[in-house]
Amino acid sequence: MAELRLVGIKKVYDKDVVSVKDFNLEIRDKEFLVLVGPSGCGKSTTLRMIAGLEEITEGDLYIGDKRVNDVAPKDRDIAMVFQNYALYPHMDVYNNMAFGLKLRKFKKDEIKKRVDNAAKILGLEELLDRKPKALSGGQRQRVALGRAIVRDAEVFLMDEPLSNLDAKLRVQMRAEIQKLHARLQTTTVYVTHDQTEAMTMATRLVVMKDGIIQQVGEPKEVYDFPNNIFVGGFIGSPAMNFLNGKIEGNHFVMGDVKVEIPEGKLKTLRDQGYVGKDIVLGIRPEDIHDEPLYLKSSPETKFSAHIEVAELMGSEIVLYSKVDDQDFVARVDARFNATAGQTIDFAFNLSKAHFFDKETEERIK
Amino acid sequence: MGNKRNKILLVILASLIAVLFLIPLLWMISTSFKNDYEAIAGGLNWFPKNFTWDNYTYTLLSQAIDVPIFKWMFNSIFVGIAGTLIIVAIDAMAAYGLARLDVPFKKVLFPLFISTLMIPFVITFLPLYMQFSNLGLLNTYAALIFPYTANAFGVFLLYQFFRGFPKELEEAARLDGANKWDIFIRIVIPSARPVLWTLAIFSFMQIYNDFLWPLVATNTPEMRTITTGIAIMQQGSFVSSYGKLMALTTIATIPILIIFLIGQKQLIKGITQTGIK
Repeated sequence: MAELRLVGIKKVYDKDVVSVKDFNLEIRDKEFLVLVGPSGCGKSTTLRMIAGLEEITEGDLYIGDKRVNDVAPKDRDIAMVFQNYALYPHMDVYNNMAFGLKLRKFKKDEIKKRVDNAAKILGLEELLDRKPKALSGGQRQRVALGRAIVRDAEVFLMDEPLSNLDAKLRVQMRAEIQKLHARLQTTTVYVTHDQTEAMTMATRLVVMKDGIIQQVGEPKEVYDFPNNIFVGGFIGSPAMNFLNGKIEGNHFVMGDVKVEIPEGKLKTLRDQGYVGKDIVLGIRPEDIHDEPLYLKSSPETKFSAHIEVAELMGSEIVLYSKVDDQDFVARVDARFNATAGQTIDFAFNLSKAHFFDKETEERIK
Repeated sequence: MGNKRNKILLVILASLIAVLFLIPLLWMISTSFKNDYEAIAGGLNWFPKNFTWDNYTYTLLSQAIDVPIFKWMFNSIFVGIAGTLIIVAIDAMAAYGLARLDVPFKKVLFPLFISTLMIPFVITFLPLYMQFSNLGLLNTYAALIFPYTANAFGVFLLYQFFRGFPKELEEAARLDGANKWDIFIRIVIPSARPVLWTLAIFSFMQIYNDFLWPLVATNTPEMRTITTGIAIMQQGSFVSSYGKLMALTTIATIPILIIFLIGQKQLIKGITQTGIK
């Protein structure tokens, strides 16, 4: 039983710098929850408040049924993995993992049993007598994980644990952490600024900006139905395109280019009085097409544009182009050989696009 | 190419400087093996014409000179070690407190500490003398040890190190269940070993080499340290006997040499850690 509840959490530094405000969240048992957002959005502060390393200015934090605001970090039954691993440099791997258990006065053979078990899970058996200095980045990260595992804590907290690793190792460790979570089923709160990590690892993710939760949901839900322009732009790579335009009749108009809005979406827009108003269209790069078949079947959203840059990624090409002098990015199939300098036809898949209010930047639902 | 040449030049330069520093030391050793006539006669003979151990045997074993040389050595080493231990212990705690803990007024305290480094000893030594005199502590080990232990240099050195010490390590330890004392003793101090060694070696050398303070703080032969002892000998039994004087000085350098050899590795680590970083 390790649910966490954050109720009206607020963090103020130096009396007037608000880092986190009105943070309400229930973290379910066995969940892998990812806090994601740009740097300075308060995600790490939130994690550190859960850990007890930062004081909570306002609000209540519950682990299980117990309010833990005033409980010391060591008594919260949590374990934390830090970005720079924070391994004790003068202790070997074994003692790094055993340190917490020793302080908690565990019996020697119990300590050994737990450390050996963690070492086995993480493939560290051969390295137990090495000092951190003699380990690679990936191995250090594993020791840091091991230190959390041996504690058998109710909750794991991870603060950007992969950002010090090189790209390849990061992908590998990402999978390993997921495997570990599947195996141990420990409630985990994971902080990252990397939206790919957030998307791939989370059972649910929380997108934050300026200390405020923007959206909470499963990765697919957040990706497909972003609450606002910020979330749409933050989650997904290349980022979602945002195009300014107007609703005229049943068309979305950007300068000379007109695309027809599907019936369902149009009704929502009409009902909420957006006709004739400035509005923002949000469309993901993969929903902009250049395949002849698609163009043929969707003449109502077709327009032509000049390709400024084409980046071949292998199976697909990322095209940088402009419509009505507004930049957009399309991710298209490499088979159709689009190259820079060409002017070609594109079509929007508007059934997958979203409209956002220009003032509030909220998605129009 | 150029890099390699630069390196060779640097090594040559470093060697020259090293030789420059070594010359007096080697001359001291060389002289200590000469007889009085040769020692005084001068001339640049690095290798004694009449090599002799007499200076050492005379200095250490002869009953003719009525001075407690071994007691002086003991005093110097004892005072050096005791003072060093106290300095390291106090400075480590003070520096850690100032660098990392919520000490009231630490923003004022630290500059105040550091500013004491600018006061030359000649200014404080008379008041210090009177203070110890009033306390009736002159000519005791307390007088020889405690004036050294209130020294901001170590606080400054360690403060820099503790400031740069990764916060996450302390936080990890906190989550592991350590209290402030555990963190200090089991995490911070072991990581600070090279810097602590650096401070220890500097402190020991400073105390061991000091001349002025032990000279005024002690007034009986038994309480003298080796440095003041050598001075007594220079004006007393060994006057114009350079061979014996150098034998005594050579003996006096041995403890420093031993300490330095033990701590050399840590010292270099400590200097590079606090200096470059």
